[in-house]
Amino acid sequence: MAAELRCPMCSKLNPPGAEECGFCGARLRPLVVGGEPEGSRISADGTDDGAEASDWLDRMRAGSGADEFEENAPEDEADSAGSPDWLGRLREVGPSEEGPPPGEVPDWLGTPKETTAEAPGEETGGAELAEVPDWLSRVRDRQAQEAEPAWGAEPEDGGAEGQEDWLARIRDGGIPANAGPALPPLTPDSAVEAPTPGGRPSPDWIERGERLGAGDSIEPVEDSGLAWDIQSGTDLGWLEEVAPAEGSDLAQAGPAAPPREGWLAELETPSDELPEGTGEEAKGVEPAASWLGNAEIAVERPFTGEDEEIIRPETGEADWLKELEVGADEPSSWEDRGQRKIWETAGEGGLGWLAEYDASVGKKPDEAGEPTPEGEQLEPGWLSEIRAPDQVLPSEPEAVVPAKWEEAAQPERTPAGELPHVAALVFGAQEPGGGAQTPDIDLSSLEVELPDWLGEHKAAPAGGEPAGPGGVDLAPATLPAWLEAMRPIATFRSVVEVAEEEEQALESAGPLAGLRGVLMAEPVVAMPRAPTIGAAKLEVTERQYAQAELLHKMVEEEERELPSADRRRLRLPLVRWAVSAVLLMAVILPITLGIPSFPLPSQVSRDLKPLMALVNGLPVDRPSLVVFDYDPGYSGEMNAVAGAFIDQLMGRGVPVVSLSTRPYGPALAAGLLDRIASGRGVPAGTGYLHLGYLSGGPTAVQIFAAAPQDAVRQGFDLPADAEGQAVCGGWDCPILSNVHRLSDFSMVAVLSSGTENARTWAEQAHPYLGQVPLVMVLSAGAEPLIRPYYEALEPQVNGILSGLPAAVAYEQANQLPGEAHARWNPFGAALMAIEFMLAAGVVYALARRLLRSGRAQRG
Amino acid sequence: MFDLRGLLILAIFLATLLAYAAYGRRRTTVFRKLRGFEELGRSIERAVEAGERVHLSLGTGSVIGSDSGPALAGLAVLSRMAMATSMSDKPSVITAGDGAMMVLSQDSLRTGYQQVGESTRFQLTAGRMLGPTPFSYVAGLPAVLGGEDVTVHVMIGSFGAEAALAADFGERKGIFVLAGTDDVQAQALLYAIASYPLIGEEVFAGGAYLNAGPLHHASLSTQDLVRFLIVAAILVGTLMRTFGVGL
Amino acid sequence: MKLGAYMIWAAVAVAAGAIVLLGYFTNLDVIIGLRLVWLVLLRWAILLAAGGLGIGLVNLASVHLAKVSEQEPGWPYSGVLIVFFTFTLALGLFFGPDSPWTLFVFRFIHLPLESSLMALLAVALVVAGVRLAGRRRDLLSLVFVLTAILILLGTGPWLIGSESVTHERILWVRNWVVQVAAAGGARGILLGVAIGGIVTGLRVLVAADRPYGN
Repeated sequence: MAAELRCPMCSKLNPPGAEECGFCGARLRPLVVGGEPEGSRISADGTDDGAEASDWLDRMRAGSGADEFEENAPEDEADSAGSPDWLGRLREVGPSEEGPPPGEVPDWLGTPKETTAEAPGEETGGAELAEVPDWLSRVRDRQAQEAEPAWGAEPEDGGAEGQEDWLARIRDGGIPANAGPALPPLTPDSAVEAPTPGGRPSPDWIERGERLGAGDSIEPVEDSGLAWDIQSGTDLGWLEEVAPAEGSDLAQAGPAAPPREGWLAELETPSDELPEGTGEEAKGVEPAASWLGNAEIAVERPFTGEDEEIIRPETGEADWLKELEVGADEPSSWEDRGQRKIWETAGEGGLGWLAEYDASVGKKPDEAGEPTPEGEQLEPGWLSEIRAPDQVLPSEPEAVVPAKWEEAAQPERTPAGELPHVAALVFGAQEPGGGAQTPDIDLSSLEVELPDWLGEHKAAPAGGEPAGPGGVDLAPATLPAWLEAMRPIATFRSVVEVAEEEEQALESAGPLAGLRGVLMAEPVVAMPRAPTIGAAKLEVTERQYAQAELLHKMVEEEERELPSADRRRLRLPLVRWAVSAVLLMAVILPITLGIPSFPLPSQVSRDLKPLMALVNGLPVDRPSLVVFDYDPGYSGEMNAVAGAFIDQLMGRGVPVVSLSTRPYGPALAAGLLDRIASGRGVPAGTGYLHLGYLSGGPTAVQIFAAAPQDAVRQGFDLPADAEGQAVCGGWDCPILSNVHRLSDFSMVAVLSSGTENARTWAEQAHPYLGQVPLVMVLSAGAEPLIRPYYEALEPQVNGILSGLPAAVAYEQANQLPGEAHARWNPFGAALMAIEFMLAAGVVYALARRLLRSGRAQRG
Repeated sequence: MFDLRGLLILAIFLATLLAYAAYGRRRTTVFRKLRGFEELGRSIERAVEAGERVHLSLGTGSVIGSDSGPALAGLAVLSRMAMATSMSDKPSVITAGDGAMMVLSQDSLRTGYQQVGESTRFQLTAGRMLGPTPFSYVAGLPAVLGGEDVTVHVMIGSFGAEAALAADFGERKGIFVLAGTDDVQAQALLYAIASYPLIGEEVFAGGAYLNAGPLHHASLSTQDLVRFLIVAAILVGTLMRTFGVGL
Repeated sequence: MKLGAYMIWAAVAVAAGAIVLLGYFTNLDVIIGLRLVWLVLLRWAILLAAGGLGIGLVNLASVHLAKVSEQEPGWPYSGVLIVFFTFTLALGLFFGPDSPWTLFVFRFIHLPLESSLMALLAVALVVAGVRLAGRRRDLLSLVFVLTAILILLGTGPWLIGSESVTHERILWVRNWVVQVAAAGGARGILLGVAIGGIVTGLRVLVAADRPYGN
């Protein structure tokens, strides 16, 4: 059974042959530029050809021929047995050799060279770089001079400090002879192919490599530590520190090298000649890039703690170097991881992690979970990729084998104006030197002191064979907490599968028209994605839960559509209907059937006789003023009551003059007076006259009382002759011929349904009446408030007639049955019905109250 | 000639009013609770929040004469209501049975809106005359109560017996009804029908209970004082009359 | 205090009110020309009241016209009102308010309508009276209803026993309640209303209340 593939991102096992991780979607097989590495199962088109797959690093490692690294192989090979001069072999990898997939190899790594079939255990095997950059040579020389290379055999007692000193020693004393192989020169022409279609997007450094290959200037990336700009002369990172070898075509072909800085500058020069920071061109030493430490790690050089000098970056120069801790900086992608980890450092202290590599070299992926010895670092992730079962790992570097590049990295100066040449870590791109193949990195030649991520390469089977039947499964490195938090492991699984470039739709609209691989906003943005990793569980107390439920209910209540309240009563107004029916029956029955019949009032109120006497004593030559101040709605009662009074007046022959302070009063007066007059045969104009409407309310009453002819100019419904012309105009009528003041009337009678009008006339007109009697004909409800005017010591009202009973009695006393008599029976019946209904309501309310109180007491 | 008694009484009224106005600036006057006005505030708030309308009826009395007294009290209530309902989705509607009273209601409404800076929300048709006669006014009331989405029905003005019908329309719709008039008959009817009737001179207390101004508080205090004086005068006069002492 | 045009209106209102009020307490003939002013102001008040009625009718028509034009709820009723309003107005303008046609409309349409509303009032009062004791469970409400029953018993005829002593006694009680208790209470209410009216008028006279607006 083919070995399962471990995802470099999430470290989960995937079925063999899978291109991408089924958990996180990361690419399982790195994209290698220029074909498959030897032994690698990943073919150029990405398919698994079943052949022994080895990545470019393996190829570099295996393909290293005789090169300087080998020459500078550490003396102590016992500890680094089998440690390949992997970095040196980088140069040995020719373009025909399989390397990392095209497009994923940075230009600075140069053209990947074919890896040889050398066993990774060869000490001197490994990639031989066709050309060792001067800086690497200087590093090697320096290291060779050092007694204790930084990445020597990792002491069991935890020699991390000693291991980390290699970099410092490198810096101080220059790169020892066994500093390790020089990096393959970086050629601007070593263009890296574009990422394979469908492949994962290349990391920045690869892209920069692409651009570099294209001749474009590359702007430095702030956080990458990589800074290379061929044209502008900006900091090119480790490139700057790589001084092209003298006479090296590669170096000469390269562009002018920017000033070096950093620890690599120290590698190139003696300690007393170490450049201080950048800008040391005067010394002929191009300042090294601060990130060079990473690049140096990529050198195929077995790490030994004895031979190599640890080149420590100066404080402040290699910030990345300081920040990097053991196992830190695990990139998210294989490419990043694979490449960056090449340059991983041990953080402060320089490349101490390299020393720890030795301890982890040869470890199987299964051993990844085993606790590493103290000070030992876990294998970095990128190396895990390298350790993929279907990949042939480069020969593991021997323990404590100083990197050949260090050995070779004598402080050779790069000619001014030329870029330092660093051998490419991958192969496939043609070196500018004309075919110089950069060897594969022979990790097997690395010393034991290589960092963990390199260390397991020692355990890789020779010849680039897979690590074992179970496949290589590199354990993930121990990441610092802050990096672990950044680790995008299985946190996002895009629902959208990125298709091959050919399969990707061509964007046809918008600003991105014409581009392929454009992310579709809709499916990505709009599609809900559930996080694969469960969200942090909240600790909710019961009270909080209850409050949240309450709030949720409140919100739901607000959102709930309430049916509009029907203002109309859903229930029928049965009580109202019943009352109406009873009242109707009570009124209709006496009118139609004459039943019930109520006896007429036998007793006469004490107010009736004075009124009758007053009316009977009125002179007939002076008109009486009758004021119609009741509403049409009260005409049912008032017509009956006033009718009895006016009937007596007209019966006695007293002229009646009507007036009203209401707009509809004259109409009411006309109706009543016309009816009574017609019954009595009293002619209009002589027997009765309408003065009309007196507007102005109480003020007008006062004005009228003071000057009647000034207040009312024209009459209402004046008598007309046969031709229809008014006989008189009002005050010029014969009936008013002797009336000039209010006191000229024989009597003033106010017919009112309310108390206000009656009081107004009583109060406003009284001063102007003199001895003229004022009579109030009122509705039954107004009597209580007008009676005091009648019963006062100095009464302002001389007579009062209120209510239907009084009117019936008045008619009865005058023996003139009229409208009041006709309404007596209906009036009585309706009153009786109302009395019964009110009583029933009271009884029902009392009974209900008693029952409820009884139930309350019982219950 | 001068009616000295009348002038004296008038002077007493005026002096008491001004004195209470000055005294009230230093000390807060506390009045007894009138449930109707307390509920009125809450009802108006509810109506404003619910986007419903408040209706004020100024009665069927004329602007001249004794009918204008409660109507003027209603206008004082109107000014406060206008300010409270200025931001409502449905502004207040004022109805009257007299044209001149209708014009006064429009002026008071406009002033109320101006005081809160909502002049633009004033509508001339907010003040209406429903009918020239009392019952024709009442006949037009159901259309206002039903069609204008009224939930607060306030009747402060001069009403006759038609006030019972007007209040009954509101009660049948189940809305808040506060009714007050100067007519005793109508007060008796309103006591039986309206939920919150105003008996006696409570109709004139609206401005004070709604904080229309310091003189409104002073007016109530003046009324109380004069009432006590009148009571005392009645008692003294009764005693004097009883014991044969003539005035 | 803010200065503005409202001060002019307030001054006019105060002056007019003071003159009219003084006219009730003094003989304005003492002051030359003041009585004439008093009369003029009174007549202007009458004219304004009549003019207000006309304005009210215009407002009535405009409100209902707007209702019809915007087809608000109940607009058909507004349409009927406008039709009959126009018809009656035209009738009165062309034939006069005392013409037989106008009187016909008043006697056979207006009068029955208002009488019907009065009848509705009677029904509403009875229903309110029936429910009063149950709705307001207090002693005063019970006394109110019982008093109403007593008054009705004493006012209306008895079908049986109208000559009885009971009827006579009830009649006596009814008269006492009406003429003593009710009258006294009503008089007290009237006094309070009158006091309130006076104070309200004084507020207008001192320009504390400005119903004419600012």
